Amino acid sequence: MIEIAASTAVVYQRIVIDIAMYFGLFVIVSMALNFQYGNAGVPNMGCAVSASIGGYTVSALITRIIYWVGTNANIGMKPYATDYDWNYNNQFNTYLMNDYIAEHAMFGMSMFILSIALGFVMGWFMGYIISLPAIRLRATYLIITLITMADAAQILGRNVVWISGGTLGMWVPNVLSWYPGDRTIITAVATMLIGIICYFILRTMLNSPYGRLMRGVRENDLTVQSVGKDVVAIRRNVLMFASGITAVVGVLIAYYYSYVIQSNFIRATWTYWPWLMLMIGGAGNNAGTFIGCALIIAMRRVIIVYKWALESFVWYPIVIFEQQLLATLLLVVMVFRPDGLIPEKLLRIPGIDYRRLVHEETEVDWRVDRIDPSKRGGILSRIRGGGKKEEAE
Amino acid sequence: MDWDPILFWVMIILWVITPAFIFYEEIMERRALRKEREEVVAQD
Amino acid sequence: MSFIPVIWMSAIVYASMITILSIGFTLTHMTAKIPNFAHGTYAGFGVYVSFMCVRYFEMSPYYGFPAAFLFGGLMGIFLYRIVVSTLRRMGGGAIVLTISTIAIQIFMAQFQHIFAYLTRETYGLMSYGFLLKKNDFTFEFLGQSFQGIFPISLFLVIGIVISLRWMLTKTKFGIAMKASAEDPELSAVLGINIEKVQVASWFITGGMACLAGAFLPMWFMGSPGAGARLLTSCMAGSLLGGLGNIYGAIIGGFTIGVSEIIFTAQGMKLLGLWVGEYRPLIPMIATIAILLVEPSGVTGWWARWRVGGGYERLMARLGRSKEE
Repeated sequence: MIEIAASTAVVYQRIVIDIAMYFGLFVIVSMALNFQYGNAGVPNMGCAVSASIGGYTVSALITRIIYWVGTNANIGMKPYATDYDWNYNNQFNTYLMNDYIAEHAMFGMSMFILSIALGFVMGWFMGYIISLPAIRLRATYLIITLITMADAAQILGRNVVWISGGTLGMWVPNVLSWYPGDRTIITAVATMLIGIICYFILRTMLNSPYGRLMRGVRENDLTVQSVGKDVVAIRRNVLMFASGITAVVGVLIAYYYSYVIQSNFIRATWTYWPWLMLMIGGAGNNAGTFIGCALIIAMRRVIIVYKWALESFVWYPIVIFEQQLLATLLLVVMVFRPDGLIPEKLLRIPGIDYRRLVHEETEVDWRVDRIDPSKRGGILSRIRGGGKKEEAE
Repeated sequence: MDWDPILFWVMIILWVITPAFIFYEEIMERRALRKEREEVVAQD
Repeated sequence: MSFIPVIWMSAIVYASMITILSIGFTLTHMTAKIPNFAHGTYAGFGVYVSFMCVRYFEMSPYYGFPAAFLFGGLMGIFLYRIVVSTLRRMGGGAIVLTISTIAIQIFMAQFQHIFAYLTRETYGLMSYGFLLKKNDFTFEFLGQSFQGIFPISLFLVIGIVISLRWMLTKTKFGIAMKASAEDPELSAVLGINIEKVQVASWFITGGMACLAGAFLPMWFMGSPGAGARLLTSCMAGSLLGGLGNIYGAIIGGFTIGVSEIIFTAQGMKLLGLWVGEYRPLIPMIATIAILLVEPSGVTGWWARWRVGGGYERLMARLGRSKEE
């Protein structure tokens, strides 16, 4: 009995850590997506490629630095110069470096911080690359281009061996191996700390004149441009910054699995699910994103845990059912409740004297076309049965 | 000493603090906005 | 003796498939103003219509073509009625409709997986990767034996183009379709039933895309993801041609289709076998290059040339050389 109790205690812990880790990761991704789409109106369907860049930073750059230190320390590293050796000797080298880092804690810690910083920079750079073709064009062209570039980056990541081992994937040295206990717990704690820091950073950026500028770009970029602001540069900066944050998420998940392979970063998990979290919770405010994230992750974990019961009810494989659920929820949310669970509100910027501003309509209806702002408000009042009523003439 | 249970509870605490903080901020902001809007309306 | 190498036949079959898809994509963009990401999934359904026709009913796959057209058209109408028209009536903008088509694509693609899974479990048919080349007819011409799908696909494309041109310029309904694509409100004032026109355009594009998918497994391998894979090439073809013009879609689709296969083949001969893995990169690079250089595609370039007086200058140069 004690063994069963002990084993369930271990399993209980593992599930909790797993859920907490995924929750932390997807909260960061969803907040970054909310920053782009909910506030600045940049529909980024290429988050998967930003996350994968973080993973590739760890597997291509940081691992090489660690291996170089190990080679200089003469602990018996195997060669890793050619593609074949990179894949074949990877596990042995990683094993050696884990022992090395276990003794040199400062080295491990500094590598961790370096990888987060470098991941952010590479994500920033990747955001610049993916914004080059289409940031000037309309939203639909932007969506097409971003999906295309995400696919292209995935093909490159799958086939180029020195990035992340091609189709075989590669193990990554555990930079937190100086920690005497479970590697996953400390990675989960680090993820949640980074999540809180990201929340503060994004909140400060939003509740500031820059946040108001982003809202202005979303609502009516012609006016903003006529006042003299460079709309294209603002949208590009937003995309680059959010791409950097998503890359940090990629770094963290590489350390959680201690393994990087391109199929960890498929488009369905890293683009469509965060979009669903955003839409369900309500685009435009952080609490809504948080709720959407919690609901979706709870739903996915429940599906995984009760897989056998569901499979007898649904006669085809559950992975298909999950994708159908994703699509159905997206459509249902968009048709019935496009504001999400927590609708958007005006930005609260301390220092602005709201009494001197023109009173503006704060009911945001995501469904109305952005090109014609005069249609906003009328449809919403007609559906909800209140507010301004427009008589049909 | 065994750090794992300590970190486990740290993680749980963070998991509770983060949403509490987010919602607290959100409610404070909405309350402040409503107060200012009532000031504006009362002034007209 | 073979005066048409097989790689060119493969390129032309693939290009005709992409052209039919690009024409449908452009037509949807003209009438509904959104890129329809679910276009590739119609083709996926066509693949499985052919599969059912051959493996289950044991007929020649050509009998499945009309069935595929009808099925695709009905699915297009169904999707329009349920999703797009509802969202548009509730005041949806371009981004919301695009995301809804992405959601439809995810949903519909799963039906192909379910169908493949069920067919395999219940009937034991090999539905996850199949090739229907043996069920096609072959004929001899000038000493080389051709597979039947090679001229049939070309005739299909030419037939579709001719019938579309006839419909859009000579029939009242086609002119109504073009008018409602340009200015819906004015057309409604003039008495055109916009809803009927939209339903008809979704029927036609769905049917055409399903037809394109129906002859995919006769040359290339059919699998549950085959339809969605065609979408990138289809979008590249439409973008190259310019999203507002059907003739541009023809040019764009053929260019992208032929160049994808020929460049990959030549690259594999020159640079090594690893080029084969990068074949999906060709339409992606084409898309990015088009958007960087000329976002309106060939149509925009041609319009600028026309408006800038290029036609007059060309006629003058030809006229001058005729006089001399």
